[in-house]
Amino acid sequence: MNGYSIVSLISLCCYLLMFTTFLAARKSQRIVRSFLVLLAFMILWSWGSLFMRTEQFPSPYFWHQVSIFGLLMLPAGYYSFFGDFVGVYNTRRRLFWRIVFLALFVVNYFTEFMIPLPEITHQGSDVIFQYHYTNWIYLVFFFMLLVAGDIAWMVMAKRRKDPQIMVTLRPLILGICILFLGHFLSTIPFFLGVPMDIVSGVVNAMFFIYALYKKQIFRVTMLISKENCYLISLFFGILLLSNVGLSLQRWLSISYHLEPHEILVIVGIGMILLTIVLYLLLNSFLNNFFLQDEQMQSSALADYSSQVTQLLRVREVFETLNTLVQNTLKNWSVIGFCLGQDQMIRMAYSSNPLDAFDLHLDKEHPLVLYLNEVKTISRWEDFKKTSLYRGVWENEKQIFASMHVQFVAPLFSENHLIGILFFNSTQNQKPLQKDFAFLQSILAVTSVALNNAQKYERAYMEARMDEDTGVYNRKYFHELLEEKYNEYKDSSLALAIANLDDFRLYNQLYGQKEGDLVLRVVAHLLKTAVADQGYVARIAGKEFGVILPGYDILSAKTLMEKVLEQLQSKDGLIPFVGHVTFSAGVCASPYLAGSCRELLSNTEMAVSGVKRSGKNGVQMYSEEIRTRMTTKAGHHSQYDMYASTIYALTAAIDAKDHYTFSHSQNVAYYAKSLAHEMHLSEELENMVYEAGLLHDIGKIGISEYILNKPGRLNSEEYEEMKQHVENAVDIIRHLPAMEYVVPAVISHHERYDGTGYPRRLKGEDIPLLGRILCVVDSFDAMISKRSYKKAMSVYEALQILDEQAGRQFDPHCVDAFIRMIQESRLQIRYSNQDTERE
Amino acid sequence: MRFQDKLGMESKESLWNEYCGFLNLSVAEFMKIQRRLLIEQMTLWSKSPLGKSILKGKEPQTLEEFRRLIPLTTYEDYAGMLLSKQASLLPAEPLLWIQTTWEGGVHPLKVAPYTKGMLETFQKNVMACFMLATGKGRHDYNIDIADTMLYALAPLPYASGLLPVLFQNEIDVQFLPPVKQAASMSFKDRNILGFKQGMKQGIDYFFGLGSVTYYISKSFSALTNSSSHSSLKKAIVSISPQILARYFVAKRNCRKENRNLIPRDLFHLKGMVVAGTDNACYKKDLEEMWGVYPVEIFAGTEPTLIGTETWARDGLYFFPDACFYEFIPERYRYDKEPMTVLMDEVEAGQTYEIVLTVFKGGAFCRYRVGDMYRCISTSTNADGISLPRFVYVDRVPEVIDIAGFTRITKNSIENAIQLSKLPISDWVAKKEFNENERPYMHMYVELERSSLLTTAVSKQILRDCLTIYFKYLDHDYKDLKTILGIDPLVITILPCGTFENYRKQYPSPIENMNPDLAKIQALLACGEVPYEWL
Repeated sequence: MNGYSIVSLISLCCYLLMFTTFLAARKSQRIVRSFLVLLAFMILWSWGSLFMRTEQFPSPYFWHQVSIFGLLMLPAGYYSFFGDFVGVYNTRRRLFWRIVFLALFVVNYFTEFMIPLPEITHQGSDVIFQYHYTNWIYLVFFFMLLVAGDIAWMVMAKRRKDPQIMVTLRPLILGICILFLGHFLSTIPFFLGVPMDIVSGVVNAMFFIYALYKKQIFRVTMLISKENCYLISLFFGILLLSNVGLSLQRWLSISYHLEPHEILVIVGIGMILLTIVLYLLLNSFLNNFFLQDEQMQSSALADYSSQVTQLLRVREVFETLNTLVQNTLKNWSVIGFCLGQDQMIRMAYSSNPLDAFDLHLDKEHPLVLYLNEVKTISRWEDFKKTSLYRGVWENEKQIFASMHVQFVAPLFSENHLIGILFFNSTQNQKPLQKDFAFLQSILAVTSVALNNAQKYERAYMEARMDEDTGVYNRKYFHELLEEKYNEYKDSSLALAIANLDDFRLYNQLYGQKEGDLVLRVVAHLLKTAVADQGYVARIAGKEFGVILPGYDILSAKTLMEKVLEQLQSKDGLIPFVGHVTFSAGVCASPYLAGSCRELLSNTEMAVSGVKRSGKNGVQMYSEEIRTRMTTKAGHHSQYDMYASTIYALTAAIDAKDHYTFSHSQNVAYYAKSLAHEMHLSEELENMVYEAGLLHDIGKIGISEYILNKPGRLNSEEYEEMKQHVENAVDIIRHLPAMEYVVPAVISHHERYDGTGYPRRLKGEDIPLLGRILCVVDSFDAMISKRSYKKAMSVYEALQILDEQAGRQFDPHCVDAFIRMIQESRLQIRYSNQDTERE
Repeated sequence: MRFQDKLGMESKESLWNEYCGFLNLSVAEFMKIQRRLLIEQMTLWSKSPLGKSILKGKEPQTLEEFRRLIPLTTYEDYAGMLLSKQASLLPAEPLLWIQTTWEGGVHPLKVAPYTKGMLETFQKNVMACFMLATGKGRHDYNIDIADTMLYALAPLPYASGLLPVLFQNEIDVQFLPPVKQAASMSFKDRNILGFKQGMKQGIDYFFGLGSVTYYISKSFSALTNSSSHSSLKKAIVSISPQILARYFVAKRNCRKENRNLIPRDLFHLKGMVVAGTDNACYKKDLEEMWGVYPVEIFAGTEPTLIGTETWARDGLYFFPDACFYEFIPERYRYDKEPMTVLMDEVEAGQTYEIVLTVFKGGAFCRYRVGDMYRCISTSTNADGISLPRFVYVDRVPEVIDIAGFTRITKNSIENAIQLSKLPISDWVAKKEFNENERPYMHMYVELERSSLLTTAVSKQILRDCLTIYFKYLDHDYKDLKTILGIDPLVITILPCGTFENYRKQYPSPIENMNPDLAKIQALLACGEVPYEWL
């Protein structure tokens, strides 16, 4: 085989390789089909040339004609390919050129006036093919030039509409130039014997593949598989060995005197090694020059997909995406927007803290309308060119400009826009097509991840929100308070509680619907006032808690006063009927409360203070204490107002549980006496007296069977029994002016060691009045006869009190109580009835 | 990125859609843009001291409240704040103050602030106008770098002076003559130089007030025939070979056809754009002279650039992002608080007075600019455009605008009569058109009966006398003669007692300004036959 044949063989192999690999590409694309046709003509050309030169069956002249057919049909193939490449589909013109070149071939076949049959001479083992061209050969060139001119015309017409087309056409134009040069050189005697035309054809095909690659018609990873690499390596291995094989055999037998079978083994091993080395080299070359980026992106994308779908927070999803983008595309970052419950698309993430985080887009925003229309990633510039962009506000334009957005992408879930991604280049670099494709590929998985995260966050928030008012609920309030208390232990944390005044009356007057509206208005007011500086929660039916981290007590008080003022003026609020006020208490740690629970209880005390001093106001806890300490006549009990109601309620319990009525009176009496003994203010004495009367009022909701059961209660019955505390609080809340007794009532079953109920408060966290009630309540229960026990003696009862001091009871209270009895400053009262469950 | 940079990079379709894509909008989409930009403007305007002074404590939040709470305004409502040019009182920082004469106003000038956003919108829309003027259909235009433009516009600080500045921000078009040079030249010299340069470089676009472009075009043949030093013949040595060839062919044709040289003989315009009033009178003549039918655009000092015709030249479409448009139906114009309709409520065949709220931080809100438009179609036209289509009718009847140059009001006529001390007892003035479709002001006057014995007053005396005072009171009126060479005043003297007869015969009084033609005819009839005889 001579050099000419080898070149033809190499060309043929190259073409075949391209052809087989492109068969794997998407043939639905016209351009891929026309490229395959082009390659087929090239294959015929090289194949014919090779078989002619190797004088294959049936004859060299047959293969010459095959080669000429391939060559002459090439221009028509080029025309179709260019048409598809630039998007001009003029089928008539294509057909015309096919007919012209087919006619040329037919005419030449019969006349040989343009391309004559070669003269074949044999010189020893070598065969020489010589073409004796006449000037008619230039007729072929003339027609080829006409096609080239037609292609140029087509391209120029397209360029007027789409100037960018020239950039993508550059490799094709260069390839065509090389093809023409090769054909021209092959007619020059200097290159006789060297198939310059075939070489230029291969180079031309390479340029075409590059153009298709740049146009994103295919991905290199899809075409160049491991099998293909191996085949190429094997082919080059055979080629090398077939050329050096004979010399190698001669060298081995002369130098090393090896036998033919030994040489065969060595050549075989050499062949394998050579193929492996070539394979590795080729693989490495392709990885470095073509595949590295794609593979890196693919692997990063795979990691991202597995990681992001497990994330449960929207911010984490965007953060992970940003990391992926920054690692894969240099100098790029992500800004994430997410659909909120208010149907606004708000900015949820940006790596740049200077970005406008309050930016939000409603469903009628031009960008949202645009993304709903295009439904895929789009260049920002394309959005700017739309008429929709005319509706963008000037300040939004400035914000967008400051973000240097290059691409904008929608995130859809079930056809609903759930988020938007801005991809911005920090160095304002021009986006590349491959970047665009990569970003496009991450959208689907990001949509899924965002959807999951949104659902989780929604569920998370729903569990923490009060659905009527849109603020946090009681449960989350306590969690938050605990968390913020610990966080702000060393600085300041203010707590405010606002309790609506006479809300029950309001509901009765204007109805539940109006009442709900007022709750929403107050919640909104508090939320607006606090903004993102604090947390608002609905902690009871008509009570809101406001946690204000970093606030001092005065600032908190001022804030609440402003809210109250606005509520009274109704300015800028959703209209509601009637007049609404609230009583608010404010306390702050660490100066006025040593623990989270103390903070809460002090604040509740402050609220009670306002309630008792005429409602409709805001009081700081310290003020309240000071007032109580200095003014004896400060407290005007509301008891008288509700005495008849309380009496009726306790009478109702009496019907179910005969003991309770007198027990409540005893407890009230003992509690007041103990408070006096402990030098509490008269106000607190009265308060604890009233709390004593009401502390078991919740038993009205407990079944008679449990109240009067002679034996021990089982666990279920005990759980129901424990409910009487919460029930009592619920009843008292319906006596608005008596709410100040709630802290004492709710804590009279708390144990000093923290094992009581319902809140498992501990030590000083239990309100003092609650601790007093606990001692005297137990004492009265012990010295009374019950259905399940006999009455103890006072001595025994005091002993138990003493034993349980520090465990069940506050030791100070116990000490004072025992001292009082021992010093006969307390008259013991005995109940006539004999049943109570404690 | 400038328009000219995009020319080399983007497809025609893409570029056309970017600038002219608003024509693809449906009425609903158009209104969405309008409503959205109104919210932005409402927020800016309501918070500004200017807005607060008009709102008097009210704060509109919705479009409905906007129309209910904000009264219709005129320049008097803004004069105090705008004339002092205090930027801090405005909805947004102005980059530029544009001025115009305020005929009939308490001050000689009106000024209007232009913000950055307004100028950007103006710029984009100017390009759209030229694309539409040079195109033959959708996605078609013919604009290239280094095209040349002959123009007949007043320089800055007049609104028309914005055009060269904004146009050059987008593309390197050569103005003939260059804007800076033109600023210091007389109107005539400017035209001569413009044509001279056009002979060298060709003329691609022609832009100006309809009346002025007509006048300049008419003067072209005079320039080519004149033997004066300033004639175009002197510049023949520097004419481009292409135009020179056209010149010789045209000369031969002109001799053959026995006519003067007209611009189309030498120049092949890509597009012609006209602004101002009374353009309808000049369009056909301009087409005959230039071979291109002009595209009319609608712009003003207060409204900015608000509308344009398309390649079809069959009516105007408003830009969605320049102003918020409301329309007062003609029959409600004289109501105390006239009702308005929006773009999606207008009816074909109805004439409306336009009410504008300038977007992007503009000062004017629900502003009665004083222009009348007729809606000619609300259905989708043959080109697939479904936005309502309008034609410019004229100024409001209380104002007589002649060729876009002067705006005469009742006030200015009364002042002229007062200053001239002419014994005119009653008058009406109406804008009319002569046999050549040219506008003029026709005054029907009745003299005081007592003065007839003591004063010699003829039609000519009245006309000369009033003209002197109109010129004294209004500089633009003077320009009608000096620039356009037209004398727009025609006087008809009515017999004494005509108005008295009219008042006896007809219960409703006749308006001084632009009464209906029927009323004019009735008035004339009252002069012919004494009322008592009827």
